[in-house]
Amino acid sequence: MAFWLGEQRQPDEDASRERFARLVLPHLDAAYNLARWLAADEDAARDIVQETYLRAFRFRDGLRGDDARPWLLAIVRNTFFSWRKEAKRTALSHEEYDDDLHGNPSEAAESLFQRPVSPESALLAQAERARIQACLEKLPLAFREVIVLRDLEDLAYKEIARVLDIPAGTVMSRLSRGRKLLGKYLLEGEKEA
Amino acid sequence: MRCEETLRLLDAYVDAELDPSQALAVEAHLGECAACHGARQRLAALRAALRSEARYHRAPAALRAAVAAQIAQPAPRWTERLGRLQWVTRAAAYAAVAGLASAITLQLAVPSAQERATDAVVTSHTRSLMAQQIVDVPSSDQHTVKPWFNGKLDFSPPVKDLAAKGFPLIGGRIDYVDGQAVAAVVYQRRRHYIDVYIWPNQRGTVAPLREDAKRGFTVLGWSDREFTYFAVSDVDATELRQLVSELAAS
Repeated sequence: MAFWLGEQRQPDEDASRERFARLVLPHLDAAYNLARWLAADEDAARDIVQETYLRAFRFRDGLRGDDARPWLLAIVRNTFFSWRKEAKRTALSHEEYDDDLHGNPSEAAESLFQRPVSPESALLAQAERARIQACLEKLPLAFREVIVLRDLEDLAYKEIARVLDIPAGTVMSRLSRGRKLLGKYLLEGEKEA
Repeated sequence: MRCEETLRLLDAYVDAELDPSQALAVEAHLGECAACHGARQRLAALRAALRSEARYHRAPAALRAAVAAQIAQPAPRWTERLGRLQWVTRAAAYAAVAGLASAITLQLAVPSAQERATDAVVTSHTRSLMAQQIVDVPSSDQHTVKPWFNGKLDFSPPVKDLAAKGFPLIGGRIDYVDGQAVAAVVYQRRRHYIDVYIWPNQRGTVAPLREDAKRGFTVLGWSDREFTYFAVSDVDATELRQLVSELAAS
């Protein structure tokens, strides 16, 4: 009887499935949040997350250690890029993942951040939800993703480096440029209003 | 340190990602340079606004169910497995299966009280997330939340202030588990909600901590002499255990 049970239950398979459910499923919100911010579309985000979990499950042996979040988010990102390639082929999406296309935000924003007086900090603090949302949404993808990973997902630079597969120093500079550009968008809106 | 270098490191400084010597150097410069100090304040304001106002998109319940189903265990293929066995063992195997099957049916038909409760709290937790009705009394003050339960329940559940441990109190809510009105005390971990369900421990016997994973949520259940507790969340299991050890410590 015991022998029979052992044969049937496939302990390795069970353990691996259980480990996956325990370590990876809890990061569903993180996966969806990133997919949603990258794709800027609910349906696409859902598809990307489902595909992400299929891929993650297939490659679950590649997960080392107990912190699955950076690993999973890297898969979300890859899945997003394949989705976008597909969408582009069918000409549905136009956004470019290319910093140069959007100019170098640091120069324009630099002067803003060096002004000695700071009524802007008061304005930034009051920037209401909808505008933050809109400004973050129109931020170029390379900056948007790094801000989402840091300020919404609360990942350490080291973890972000893992997700994006870039050096930690690049995370720092990209985050810095992204926040400057976001600050510029927010203040521009404020002045127009 | 000069302005140029300070501004280059400013984000990492605000994010507490610099090594101590660099952080000290930045701090020293900020103390003596009004322009950089201003830049730091603007950056901190932006960062705070982002963190409190930018939307964290939580996975819709339907997606959660779909993903959980995706990786759920497929039904065992009995016939296929049987086919691989030698014919001599097959008869014995069938006999064993017949006996086993009836035992399994009996066990499945009568889930333990623990399993029922686990199921019920996960259902209740997902329902509250879907309804966006996280709390009935929103408050981070234990002295507001605890009295709120009095008069609504015939017991007074323990409510703790664990903000310092990284689990700020969000509030409380009355919920139903297995047809019984229970207290749900809600804590937060980053953007994740943690429901701690509490009801009187009828038997009065202490039950050790038990961990379950269900539909993508981690469930930790235990009892002390007075109360039975179930903590449910989609937060990391390690972090949920940390909260539980804080709650259990008194």
